[in-house]
Amino acid sequence: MTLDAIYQRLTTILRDVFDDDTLVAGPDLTADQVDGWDSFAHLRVILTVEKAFNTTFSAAQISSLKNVGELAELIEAKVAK
Amino acid sequence: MIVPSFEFLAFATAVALVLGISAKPLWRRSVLVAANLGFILTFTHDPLQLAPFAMLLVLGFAGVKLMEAYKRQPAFAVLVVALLSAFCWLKNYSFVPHGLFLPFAYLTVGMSYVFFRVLHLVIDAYQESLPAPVGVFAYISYTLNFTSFLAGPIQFYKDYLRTESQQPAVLDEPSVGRALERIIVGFFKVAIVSPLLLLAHAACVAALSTDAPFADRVLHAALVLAIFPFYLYANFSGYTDVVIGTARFLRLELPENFNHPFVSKSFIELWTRWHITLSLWLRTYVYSPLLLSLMRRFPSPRVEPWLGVLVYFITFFLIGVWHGQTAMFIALGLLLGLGVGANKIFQLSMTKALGRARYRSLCGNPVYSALSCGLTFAWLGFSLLWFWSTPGQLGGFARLLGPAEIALTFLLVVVLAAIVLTFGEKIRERLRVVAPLDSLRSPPYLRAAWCTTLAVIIVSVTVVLNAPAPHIVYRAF
Repeated sequence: MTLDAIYQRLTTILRDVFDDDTLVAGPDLTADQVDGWDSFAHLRVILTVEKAFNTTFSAAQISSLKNVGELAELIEAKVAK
Repeated sequence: MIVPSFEFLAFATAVALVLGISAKPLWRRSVLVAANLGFILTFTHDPLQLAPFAMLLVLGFAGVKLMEAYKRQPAFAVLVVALLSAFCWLKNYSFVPHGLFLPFAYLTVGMSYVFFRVLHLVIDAYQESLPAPVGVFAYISYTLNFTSFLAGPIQFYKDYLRTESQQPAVLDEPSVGRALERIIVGFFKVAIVSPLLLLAHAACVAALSTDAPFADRVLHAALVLAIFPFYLYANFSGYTDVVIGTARFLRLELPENFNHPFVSKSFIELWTRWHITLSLWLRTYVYSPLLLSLMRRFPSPRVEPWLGVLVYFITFFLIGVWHGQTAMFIALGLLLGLGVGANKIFQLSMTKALGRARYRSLCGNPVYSALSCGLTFAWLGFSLLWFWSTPGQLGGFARLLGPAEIALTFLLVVVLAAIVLTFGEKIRERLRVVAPLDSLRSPPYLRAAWCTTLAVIIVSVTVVLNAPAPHIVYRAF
């Protein structure tokens, strides 16, 4: 799966979780830039991503993500395995 | 060895000089391992007193190697339970049968913080999140890192390795100056500010009496609540400043543990600014896994927010219980858990009632924001009553004040804290522009004069007046 395809699916997920159709998943997007993205919402994102990409993340991976770009790269690495 | 002390700084200087001989990873690791062991030997030379701590470390290392080789959930569960049990047993938690306690004195200083590092390694080894297999020297270097041995900050292994051996932090002129300033300011906070605040706190506790007029009683009670958080902050953040500055001379980078906690506008925000590394550890290894597993089990959008509230409560309850081994700390845990739980419920209710945009607008209102800040501080001060007082003292306060005066005291702290902390923050922001003592942009002579003044006061008090820096409070945990 290409990074572009991953970003597209992440955009759908973020719009669904935050109920905001203007959101666009990009590599520099951070939690601070999205209204309502707190630690609880972060886990909703992770859970939805896990389902969408049929993968799981470790505790360390979940807490160390700094932006959507890192999440997309992590997904890419996991999907490629 | 007391941290901070001139003895500690001399020890760290010697280590820095030896480390400076070579930047090769093997040399750095060898010197740091030797320094860590040497540091621990300053607490005791008796092998018997060191044995329980060593046993916990050996169990942890064996656990890491087992998880690296054999990733099976039952083995992982048994291992985590074994480590937790060993920790609670060695720390003499009150729920452990007293007959099981070891019948001799032994080293427990720093054990909690070492335990967090060990458990992190075991969990990450199981989840294949470690950057590489952990060797015995890397294990000792990381878990016993003497700069953060006593009371953190709790650093993750990957981040520690980065400056320990892979890419040591730059030690140029600005960073040396910054590190030195940090040590002096931290030392000042621990040796001068925190004892003065503790004296003021003790005076207010002593002044509380039935004979005092109503207004004096309430005012003193409010000061008893309000001074302790400042004392704890000066003591703990001062220690953190010293160790972060000291580590920098060893070209190690430690994570920050505080970020202006008293400007927090909610109890949840407070824990992203106070003891940050502990909060991050618990978020990583308790909050997130527990909430994710509950969300998987109960996949309903209506239930999920309440699961969040429950897990917040559990996580912060654990923070309280971690602080001590008695029933007082269980009460502290309940109050902290109640604080974050109620905070989350309020956030959810307000968002539902007003909508996200209007709630955000309300949060931006200066009066609402100041009162939120005051309420957060007051709840912290109130919760900390169970941290510093004895059951007898607490009972005495309750009898002396009664429910109405307690409520009035709490309200007074909310209002005073709202005013003082809000204006304090405004003044701090203004000072940062006018005289930015904490910024590299400020004139060097101003910063040098500031630090020299603080250093002279530290030396005058600790050496000339023979009043050494007190032990840091978190050393006991």
